Amino acid sequence: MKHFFTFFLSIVISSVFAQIVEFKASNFKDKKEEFKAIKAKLDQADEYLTLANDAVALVTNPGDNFIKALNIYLEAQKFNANSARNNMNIANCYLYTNEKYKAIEYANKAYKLNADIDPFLYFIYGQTLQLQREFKDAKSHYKTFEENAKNKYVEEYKKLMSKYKKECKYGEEIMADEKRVWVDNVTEVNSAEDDFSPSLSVDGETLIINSRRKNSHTPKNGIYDSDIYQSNWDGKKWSSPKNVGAPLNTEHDEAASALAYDGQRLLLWKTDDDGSSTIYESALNGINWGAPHAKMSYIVKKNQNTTFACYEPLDIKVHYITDKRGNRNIDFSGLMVQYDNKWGEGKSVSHKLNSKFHEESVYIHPSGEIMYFSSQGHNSMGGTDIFVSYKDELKQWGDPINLGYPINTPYDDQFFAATANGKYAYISSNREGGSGGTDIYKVTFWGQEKQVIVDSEDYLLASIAKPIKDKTIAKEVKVDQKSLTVFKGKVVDAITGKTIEASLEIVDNANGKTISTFKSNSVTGKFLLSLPAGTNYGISVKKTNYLFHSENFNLPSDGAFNMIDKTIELKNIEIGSKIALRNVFFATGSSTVTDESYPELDRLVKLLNDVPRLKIEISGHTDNQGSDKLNTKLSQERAEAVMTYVANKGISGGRMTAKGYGPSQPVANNNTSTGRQENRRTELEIIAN
Amino acid sequence: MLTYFRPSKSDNMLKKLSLLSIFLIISLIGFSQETPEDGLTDEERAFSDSIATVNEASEENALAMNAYNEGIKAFQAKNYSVAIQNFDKAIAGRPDFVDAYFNKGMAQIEDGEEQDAIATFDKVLSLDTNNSKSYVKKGECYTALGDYKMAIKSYDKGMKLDPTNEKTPYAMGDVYFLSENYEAAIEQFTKAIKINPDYAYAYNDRGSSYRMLENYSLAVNDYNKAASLAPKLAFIYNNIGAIKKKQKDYPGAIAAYQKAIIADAKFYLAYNNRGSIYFEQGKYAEAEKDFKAVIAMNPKYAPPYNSVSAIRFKQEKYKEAEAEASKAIKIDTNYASAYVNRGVAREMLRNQNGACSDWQKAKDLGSELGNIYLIGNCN
Repeated sequence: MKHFFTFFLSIVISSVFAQIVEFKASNFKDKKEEFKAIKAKLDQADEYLTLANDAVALVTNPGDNFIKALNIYLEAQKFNANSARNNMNIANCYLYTNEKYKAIEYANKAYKLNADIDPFLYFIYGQTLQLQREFKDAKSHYKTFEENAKNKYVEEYKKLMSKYKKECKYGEEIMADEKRVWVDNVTEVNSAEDDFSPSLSVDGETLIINSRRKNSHTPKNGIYDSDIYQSNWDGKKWSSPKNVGAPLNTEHDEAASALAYDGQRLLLWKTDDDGSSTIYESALNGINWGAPHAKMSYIVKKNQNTTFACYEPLDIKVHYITDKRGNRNIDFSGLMVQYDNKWGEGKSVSHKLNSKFHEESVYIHPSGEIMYFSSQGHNSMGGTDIFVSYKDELKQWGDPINLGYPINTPYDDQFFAATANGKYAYISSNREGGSGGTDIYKVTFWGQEKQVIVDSEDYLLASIAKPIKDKTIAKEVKVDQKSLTVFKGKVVDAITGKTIEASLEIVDNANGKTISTFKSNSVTGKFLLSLPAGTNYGISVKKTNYLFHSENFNLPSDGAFNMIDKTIELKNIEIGSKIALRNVFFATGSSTVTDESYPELDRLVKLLNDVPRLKIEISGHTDNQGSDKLNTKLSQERAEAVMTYVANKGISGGRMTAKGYGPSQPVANNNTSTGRQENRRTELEIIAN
Repeated sequence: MLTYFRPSKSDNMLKKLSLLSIFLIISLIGFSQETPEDGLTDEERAFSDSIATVNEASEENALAMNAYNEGIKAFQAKNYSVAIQNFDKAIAGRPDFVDAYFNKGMAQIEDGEEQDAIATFDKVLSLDTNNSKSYVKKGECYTALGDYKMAIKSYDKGMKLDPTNEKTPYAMGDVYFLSENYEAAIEQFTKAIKINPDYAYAYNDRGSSYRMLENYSLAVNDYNKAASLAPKLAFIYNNIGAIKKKQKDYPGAIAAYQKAIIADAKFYLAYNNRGSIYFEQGKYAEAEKDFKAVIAMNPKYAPPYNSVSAIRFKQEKYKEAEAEASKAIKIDTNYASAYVNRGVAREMLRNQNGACSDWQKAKDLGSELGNIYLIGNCN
């Protein structure tokens, strides 16, 4: 029995070792030429890898050296999959891509083939253990690396080693306090490539993302340039992301970083001709994004790349990521109103928030009091984590707080865009289990633990044999978020219901201060903003030739979040202006007004009631088909029928005249059916105001 | 309490007149040949006519009495619509039959026709303006209809007519309690106690009024007095338990509920409420045992199902929590707490739309918690 066991063990050991085939000429005597070619490439790959690892050790940008090296190592892997070193190198490269999870498989294989191939493998393997949240094991492998590697390497990686060991410690602490959230892959917007930097309108209905999914451009090192995509919420899910196209997207990298709270502007960064990146802004013209222009003056951008940026509610500062001081840090620049609207030089946002490592993204909550940012520093549990900072009573940013697991993982978790009610947020992460590369994830906050109700009832009144509930309410539930109200709506013509691009001004009635001035969208007439609740606001809406509209509204502060959806109707009262009443219909060949016409005619009645000095002419028009005489008669009767309806609603007949013009005043070509349809109309003309 | 028919003096007189009329008819037949035309003198004819009228009345009266007594029988058999029909027959026979009206009103109350009952009691009062009982009954009808203002008005009139009836201020106290005017309720219950110092119900209800005003020591005093006067009334101990629970004296509350169960082993509220304390203490197994006992005793009572739902939620068995809350809703479609609990379970089952529609329903039914969850979690 003993002999059998020894025999069996020797077979197992020999079979394991038999698999190890390092890239040595002696191992490929029968494939000399192929080996030679691949070895030359491997030497090149090793150079890329050294450059990349050196950059990592110095906390600088490794550029595309990891990708270049990885492509070669993967090619070599096809030639020989059993090199412990090659497996280790592949794992090493993957750790610095957006497919970090792939490093696990290769590190495991290298470790199994020959754990002692290089002390550096302990470092790589430790990192893969950290990714899997095996923090204790990871720490022990980092220690083994320090004990076995040459002093030169230990010294070179001292800063990183210390960081990773701390990350493991933080990881253990963070995992002990798992957060009450769900983090779901938003599969409907993600692709097999990198999808990142989600930004959201405050009503949570427009999502802008960036993606390196396949496009018509030429990929570099197998990777496509980043383009901007837009998706809309249909009430249940996001629509398939649509490339926003030119002028925003080009064959170079561009990435959107923040949608203005009203959804009408977009901050993005683009790669300039000199290879550096700069923050641009684009405005929504109706339904198309306009040509981007540099957001801030070049004063901000001396010898630095500026990338991800965000708006803040007052709209006089831009917070952005810059590598001006070597690391990528969060700076902010303010609009210097006193100096001709010029942007001031960027300043570090706070020494509390900027760490010795990279900060990657920044987002200011619509309240203006909360900043979310991502960082490799602070108490990250590995990779980039998302942090939150609250403004203190002196309006200074407070210490960063890690958002915790499962929002954060040892992978790269970045970006943060929240709905105004604080219930949902969107982030990017390259964690394992996604659609490929970095993906967009939706975070659903459960909030504080919800109470469930157990009712007790009593016969409080002896003669009423019915249980009576004591109405004393249980404890109040703390509301998590600041009270914000999303104020959205659209501006339309009071009669036709057509959308209008109008100027809106929101004023705090308590102090007369203008909170915001903006325009409704030129195509959709929509507007959107978030306002602090508990205030009485005045809104004024202006548009040439339209009656000035103003009203005030209270936003109660009784709830955590409210959404107000308002349609503002503007009244066109310019003398001579003609308004076609396209929704007024008659029975065929008769002057009987049909039921479908009542809403439009009732709006006309309302206009005449609201503006008592208004006088109008109601005119009937036909196409040129049939006898002119009959057409004129019919149009006269129809105009009179409309007038009768309006008069029956209490409008004095003296304020109206009815006139049938027959086919004499066409507005379109009578030769086409659409033209004739345009010409058959009821019209009103303002004749006095 | 129904008013039963008893023969009165006037009814005896009718019997005598009937006998006399029989005698007269026999006499008239005997002397018919000696009299011109009908053989009666004017005097005799007039007397005969009056006798005939009386006889007719007597017959109608007998029918009315029979119908009245049939009405009472139907009432006792809880056949209220038949009772009403019979009382109507009695009234048709004797339009001034006060007791038939009164009993009809009582049957209408039992039949859930309070509005009609008010009209009937008004009829009683039009025939007998001093009928204090009708004012009290009208008060009860208005209470049932939720018209507390009119109820108080009626009780007030009843009280003025009969200030010695302790039940009138007691009933008025209940109306003030229901309209959440607990100070006024205490005043009325105190009046009732003054009239009858052994009135256990009045002590209980005054205790409940003090409880609502959060004056727990006076509440416990009153409940204790009520318990000493009526030691078999389980709900009084149950009310003591509720106060102990409010004061977070859980052992005290459990002891009180135990007493309620000893007084009446079928008093399900005590089990339910004891279960709620076990729940607060995190003793889910004990709580579940109590809630299941309530369900066994009263399967149509919704709260224990909802409480089991709460236990399942705490045990993170969200599917079961949803199912239990649904059972409560099936029994009582207007049970706000069950919608709150089901919404919370549905949220954890990732059915946010379902959760939001449940919280919306809870809010519509007046649940503050439902409203808070709706605002914080739904679009």
